[in-house]
Amino acid sequence: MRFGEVLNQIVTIARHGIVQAVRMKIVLVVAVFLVVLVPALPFLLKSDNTLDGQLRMIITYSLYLTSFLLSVITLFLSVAALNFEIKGRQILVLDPKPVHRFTLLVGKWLGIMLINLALLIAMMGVTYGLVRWFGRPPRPVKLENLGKHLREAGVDTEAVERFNATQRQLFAGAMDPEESAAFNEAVAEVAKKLSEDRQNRAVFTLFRNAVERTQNVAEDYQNTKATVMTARVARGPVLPDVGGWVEERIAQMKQNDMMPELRSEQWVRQRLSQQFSRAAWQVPPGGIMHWEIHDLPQFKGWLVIRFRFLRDRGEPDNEILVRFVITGRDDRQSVVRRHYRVDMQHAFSVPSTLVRQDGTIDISFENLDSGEEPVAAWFPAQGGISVLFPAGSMAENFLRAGLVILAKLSFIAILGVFASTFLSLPVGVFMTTVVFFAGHMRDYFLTEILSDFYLFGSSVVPPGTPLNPADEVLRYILYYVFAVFPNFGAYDIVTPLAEGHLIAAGMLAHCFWWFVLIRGSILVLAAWFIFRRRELAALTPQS
Amino acid sequence: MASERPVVIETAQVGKMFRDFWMRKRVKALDNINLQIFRGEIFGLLGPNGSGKSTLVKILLGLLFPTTGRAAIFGRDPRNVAVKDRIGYMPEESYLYRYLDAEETLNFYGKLFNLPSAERRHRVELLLEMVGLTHQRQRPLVEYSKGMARRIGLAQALINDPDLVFLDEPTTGLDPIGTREIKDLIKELRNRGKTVFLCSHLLADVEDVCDRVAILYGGRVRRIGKIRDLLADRNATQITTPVLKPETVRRALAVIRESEGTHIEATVQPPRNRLEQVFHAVVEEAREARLETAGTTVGTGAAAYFEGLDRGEKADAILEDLLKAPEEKPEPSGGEREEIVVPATPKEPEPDRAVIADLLAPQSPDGREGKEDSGKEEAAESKRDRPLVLPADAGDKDARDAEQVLGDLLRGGSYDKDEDPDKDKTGQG
Repeated sequence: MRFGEVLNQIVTIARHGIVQAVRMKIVLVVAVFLVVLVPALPFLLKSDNTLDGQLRMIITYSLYLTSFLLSVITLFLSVAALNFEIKGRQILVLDPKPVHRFTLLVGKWLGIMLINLALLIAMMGVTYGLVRWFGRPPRPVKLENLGKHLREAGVDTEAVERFNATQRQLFAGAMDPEESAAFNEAVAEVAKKLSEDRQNRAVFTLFRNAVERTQNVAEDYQNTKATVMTARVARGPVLPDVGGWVEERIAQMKQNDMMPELRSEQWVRQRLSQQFSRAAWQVPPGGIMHWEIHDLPQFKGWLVIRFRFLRDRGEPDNEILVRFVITGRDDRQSVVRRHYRVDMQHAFSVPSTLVRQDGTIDISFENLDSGEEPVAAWFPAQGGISVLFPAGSMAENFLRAGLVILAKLSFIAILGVFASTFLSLPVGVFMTTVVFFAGHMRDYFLTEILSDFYLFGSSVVPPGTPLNPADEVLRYILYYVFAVFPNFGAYDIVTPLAEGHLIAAGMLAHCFWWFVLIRGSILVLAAWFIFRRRELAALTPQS
Repeated sequence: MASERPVVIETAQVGKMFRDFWMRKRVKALDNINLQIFRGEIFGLLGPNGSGKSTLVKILLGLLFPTTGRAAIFGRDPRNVAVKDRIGYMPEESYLYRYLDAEETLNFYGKLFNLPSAERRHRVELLLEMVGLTHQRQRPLVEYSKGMARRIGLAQALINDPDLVFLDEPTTGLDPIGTREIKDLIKELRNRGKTVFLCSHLLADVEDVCDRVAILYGGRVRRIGKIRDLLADRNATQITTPVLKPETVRRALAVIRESEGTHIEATVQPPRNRLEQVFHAVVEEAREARLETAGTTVGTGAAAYFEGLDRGEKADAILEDLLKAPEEKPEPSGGEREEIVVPATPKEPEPDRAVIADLLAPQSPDGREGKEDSGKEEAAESKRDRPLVLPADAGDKDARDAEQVLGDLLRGGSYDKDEDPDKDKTGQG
């Protein structure tokens, strides 16, 4: 049989699967549910009253809902597709047709994936549309009356018109630094004229309020565009070689016979690693830390400096006065000096024109805490400090997110079809559900549960006490048992999309590689192996 | 004669043991089945419930795998896709997609055979006409009656113009018209060189159309042979003549007694039409009167379907290949035929009268002679009357009635008009 003929059979079976799902109204019910619920979300849920907060909420809830519901449908449809045929005995008519059983499995899988694709495109489209609509440029502040007052105060018409024009430009355009600069120049020109005469104080106040309103709206919009409606990439400083320090220290301790007797070497290593990591980017009161950031592109727009620091002691919600100095091309500097709350994510923007020709900028952080008991600030290795720049559009990010979801759904569909080759509908659905949730909890189990797992030894021992050997073996076995489950949590696309981070092509490729090509292929081969040996007219029902 | 034709189905010591979840032996469904079925043959598989008929069919279709022995179709494994391309299967129930309509159903299966679009549409039209569902083509199958669903089940089995057709209880649920159409179709298939494997409980149907039958009991073939050989009653003689005068009958009986002895028991009775014939006559009248019906219309019949296929052949060169006579059709690609070891054809045993009587008595109590192979001859024979039966030992009620009539005749009496329901039809008094 030629490849074209096999392909034709696959498409025929897939199309039949779609007709089956539609006429049995399964897909219809879910589609209506999604189409009604997703657009209603922004009106049902409360955000923090900021534009970016609202957009993040829409993205987060819509995509979690879409991803979860599609996973559930896929799980059910994929197990049911073959089971319905077997239970309804249509397979007795279908199997004697010149169709390879492998073709049948692939056709069933393709049908489910086409349904998924249609629903996914619809739901991603609705979510994207909602984000674009809520994130549309704000209207310029109405200035007709202000313009009249300004002219009465002696400001010439050209300056007023320039102010109005730059403001409109600010909203209509991308609100990039050039437009902001032009607006600021126009504001300065009008303010200078008003300040010449003290009689204009009332008009000046009106003007200042209008400018502040404009700037607030513009800043909110700019912030939203720069943090949510974009796809950014983060670059961070290179962490010092903590591992090397740890090994050096361990060697010293062993040489001096300083290793603790009741602690395992692994525990000592972990503790040292934590201490050195913390010390690497620790800034004492009055101290300064310098970082150099590499591989930044030349572009027109804003760089976002994002950071989070902790303090070595005291209340975690205190604020510390700090100063950031960003130094770049031609030694131009951008300085930010203010109080920042400890253990929170913060960000500020600097013009991208600071980036040098070689793609670098310097960031220096000065701890200005001068209270009665000044504290050191330390930046964690992960998420301590990074520089973000746009590397793609939000649409592109949505597309990548959709592809990741599709890869996951693809694996779930393969898993379901595999289960249906030897399990009945309820047992198959149960099995795939267990795998689905275990896959989501895999990391939590491996990191949290397993580290506190004691069966033979006592858990009431000092930290670092060597494990009972039986527990050690058991943990080892459990680790590899759970490691077999697909790690759904490793490919979270909702958080990066809501934070405006570009979903890396590497993650996309990794996801397809592990979910579809490796695990999927193994399951497909296993399914084919089982199904081609299955007696479809067996008297004994499969269980 | 049959052995000169190519073997289409071959089983060698096929056995099937069903096991439970723990692989314990539960049911021995088939035991040492050796069959050879030839091209152009209508082969009937008979047996009571649980005898293994369906199991054997499912093994031949690749839906079950034999525990022992081997089965081959067209010399290859039944699971081979090239083999399945030449097979049509109508299961004992219409296991079709209830949410599809008739046209969609046939199109779906047609696509699986990779039929070119124009040819597929042509065949779908012809098949819908053949099974009388043209006007119901867009009703979902869930709304179909059982008989209508059987018809569409038959149509799907023929969508690929198969060389070998498996029909499992094909007439179940069908009205007499549908039953006759199926029988006509089976005969037409044979006329076109196709092979038909028929599995049925309706012994009259099997008797009407099959060339050879095998009788299964307890998973083993108990009898196998040609229908006429199996049904021949060598202890009685039947003479068929046009209507005779009573005097002629008396003289004939006198000759028989004179020759065979006075102890011989002879029965003379006028011929009877079969109820099937009467039914078809009534329906034919209604159809000619153009009375309306909400059910299936009468199909165009198998002959019209095959004529339609032939017209399609002329129009379409692809069809020409597909519908060539089987001897011209190449064997499935892939090289040599698979070897299958079949023991020498066992000598056909004498019919086990007890088994046959058990199986056939309720449906055919008359013990007619076997029929000729030709469909036309069969049709003619079905209209033929049975004027004179001379049973060797007439122990049942019919025989006693016959004895009474014979006695009346020999005493010079005549038929009582009121007691003879066939009188008006035969015109005999």
